[in-house]
Amino acid sequence: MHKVAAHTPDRIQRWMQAVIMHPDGPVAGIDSPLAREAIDVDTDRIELVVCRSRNLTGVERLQIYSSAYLARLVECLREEYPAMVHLLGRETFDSFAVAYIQSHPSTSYTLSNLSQSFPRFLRETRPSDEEGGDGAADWIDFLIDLATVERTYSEVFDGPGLENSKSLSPDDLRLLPPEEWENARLLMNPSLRLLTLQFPAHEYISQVQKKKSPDIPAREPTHLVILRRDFIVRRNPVSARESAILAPLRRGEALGAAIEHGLQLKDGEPVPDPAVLREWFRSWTVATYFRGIAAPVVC
Amino acid sequence: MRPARRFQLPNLGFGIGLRTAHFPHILESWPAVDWFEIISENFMDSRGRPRHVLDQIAGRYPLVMHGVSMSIGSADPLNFDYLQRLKRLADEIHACWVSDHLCWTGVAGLNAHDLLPIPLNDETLAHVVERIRIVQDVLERPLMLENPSTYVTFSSSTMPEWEFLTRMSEEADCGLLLDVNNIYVSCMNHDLDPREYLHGVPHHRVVQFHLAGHTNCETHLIDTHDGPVIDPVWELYREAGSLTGGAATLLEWDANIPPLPEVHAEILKAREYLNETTPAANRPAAPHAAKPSNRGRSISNPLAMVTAEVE
Repeated sequence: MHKVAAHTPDRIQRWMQAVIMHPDGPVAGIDSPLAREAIDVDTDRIELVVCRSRNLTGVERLQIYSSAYLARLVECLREEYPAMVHLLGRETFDSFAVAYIQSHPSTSYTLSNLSQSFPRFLRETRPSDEEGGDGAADWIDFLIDLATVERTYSEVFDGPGLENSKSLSPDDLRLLPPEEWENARLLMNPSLRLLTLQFPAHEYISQVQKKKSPDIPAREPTHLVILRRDFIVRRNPVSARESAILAPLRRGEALGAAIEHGLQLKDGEPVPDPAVLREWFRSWTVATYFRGIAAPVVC
Repeated sequence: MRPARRFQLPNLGFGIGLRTAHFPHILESWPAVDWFEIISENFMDSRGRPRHVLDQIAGRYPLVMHGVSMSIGSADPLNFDYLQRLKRLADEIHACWVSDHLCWTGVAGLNAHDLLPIPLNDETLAHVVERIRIVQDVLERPLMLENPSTYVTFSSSTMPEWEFLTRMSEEADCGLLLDVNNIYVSCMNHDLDPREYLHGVPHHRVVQFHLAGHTNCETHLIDTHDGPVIDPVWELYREAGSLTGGAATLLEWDANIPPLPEVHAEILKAREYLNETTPAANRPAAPHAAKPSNRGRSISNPLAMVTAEVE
C-alpha cells in the first residue's frame, strides 16, 4: 500500500473521481480497480486518505459527493428531455440516464454538451425486437425519435442562427437570373436541421409542453425541418420530396442537382410541376431556410 | 478596518445571480437591481437567446462572471481553449471581474460538474498559485477565487483553508470571492468555528461576497442555494462586512427559484446587516437554521443548465 505521504494530488484526484463516479456507490468505488490503481486503500483504512467528522465517517462523507454526482447530471437530462420523462416515467427515464452517464461521462466544461450522444447511445443500445417483447419495436423506435428531436431542439436553441444577419428573401431568389439557377448553391440558415423520423415525435413533444397526456402516435414517416427564428426554435413538417430537395441543398449541392434529386423520389405522389416548386422555394425563403446564395466559383 | 487594496475594483452593491427563469421579468421591468452575476459556462458558447438577453442586460447593469469549470486545482493541464472563450466573453460584455472556485471539477479529461475539494498543503498551494498566475496572464485581469462548500477533508492537508486562501491570494496576487454561506457550511461539516475562519482570511483581498441558503441534513449541511439565508450566516456576513469594509454582495438562488422580486428582497436585507446603526432587534427576520432535507433533493450546487424554448 502507498504511504499517506505518497498520495500526490494527482493520485488523490484520480482516486476520488473513481470513488464518487462509481455507479454502485463509494464503497464499491473504493474497491474498484481504477481507485485501487491510484490509492490502494480499503474502506477500513479510508481515513488514511479522507478524515472523518464528528458525525460522519470518511465513507459517509464521500457518499455526499457520490450521490450528488449522478443526481445532478440526471436532473440535467430530465430538464433537457421532458417528453422522454413523460413517456417513460421518471424512474425508467432515470435508469436510461444513469446508464448513459456511466458510458458517456462528461468531458466538457459545459453541461450543454452532456447529452449530445444520448440519442446515439439509445440507438446503439437498442434491444432487438425479440428482446423487447410484443409491440416493443414501435415503443423503442419512438423513444429514439423523441430523444433525437429533443436534443436537436437544445442544439438549435443555443447554436448559431440568423437573428443578427439577413436571410435570403423571396425577392432575392426571384432576381437570380434563370441561367444561373442550375449551378447556384444556396447557403443554409446555420440553425437549420433536417430530420427523418419514423413517428411525428414533435407533435407528442408539443402535447407534453401543453401539459397534456398524449398517447404514443402511430408509426408515420416524418420529415421535419427544425430551425430558429427570432431566438425561438421552430419545427416545420415537410413532405418526403421537399426533404429530398432540402437534404442535398444542405450538403452544399447545386440547385439543379438538388431539384433533380427531389424529382426522382418515388414516393407515390405526383411529380410537382414548376409552380409547386416555386411555391416551395418561396415558402422556404419566407421561413428563413436560407441565408444567401454562394458566390459563383471563378476559375 | 478598510481594505488596503482591492485591485481598484468597485463595490457594486447588492446583486443577484442571473437565472433564465428571471429573463422575462428583467426584460419587461428592468428592476432596480445593482448588478448581476452570470454563470460563465452558460453564456460562453451561447449564440441563441441566452446570449441575446445577456447582451441587453449588459447594456443596463454591471455584470460579473462566475465560473464553475475552470478546475484551477485539477492535476489535468489547464484548458486554454476554455480560458480564451472565457476572456472573449469577459471582453464582450465588459465584465467587472471574473471568478471561479478553489476546487477541481475532474481529472483524466472528465468533468464531474462538482466543486471538489483539494488537499490543503504546500504542494497543492504551489500548484494552484502557478495556475492562477497563468490564468491571470491569459485573461489579462485578476482572478477572484471562491471558497467552496466542502464535505470531506484530507489526511494530507497540513493547513486550514483560511491559511491556504491567505497564502494563495498573496503569492498569486489574486482576489477572493468570500462565500459566507460556504464558510458556515464547511465549518459545520468539518467541526470548525466559522468566526475563526472568517478572521483568518486576508480581508483586503475580498472583492466580493456570496450569500445563499443551504439544506440541513442533520449530520451535515449541503450547499443547495434553494432557500433564504439563515440568521447565523447573516450574522457572519455582518462581521465580514465590518472586517473588510464591505464588498459587492451577491445572493445565489439556484433551485426552487422564487420570482425575482422575492430574490431581490432577500439580498436587500444585506443592507441592514451592514448598517451598524440598525439595532439587532430591528434587523430583518431570518430563519435560525436551514430547512431540513426533504430526502432525495439535496444536490449541492452548481447545477447550471439552459433549456430550449420551442414554438
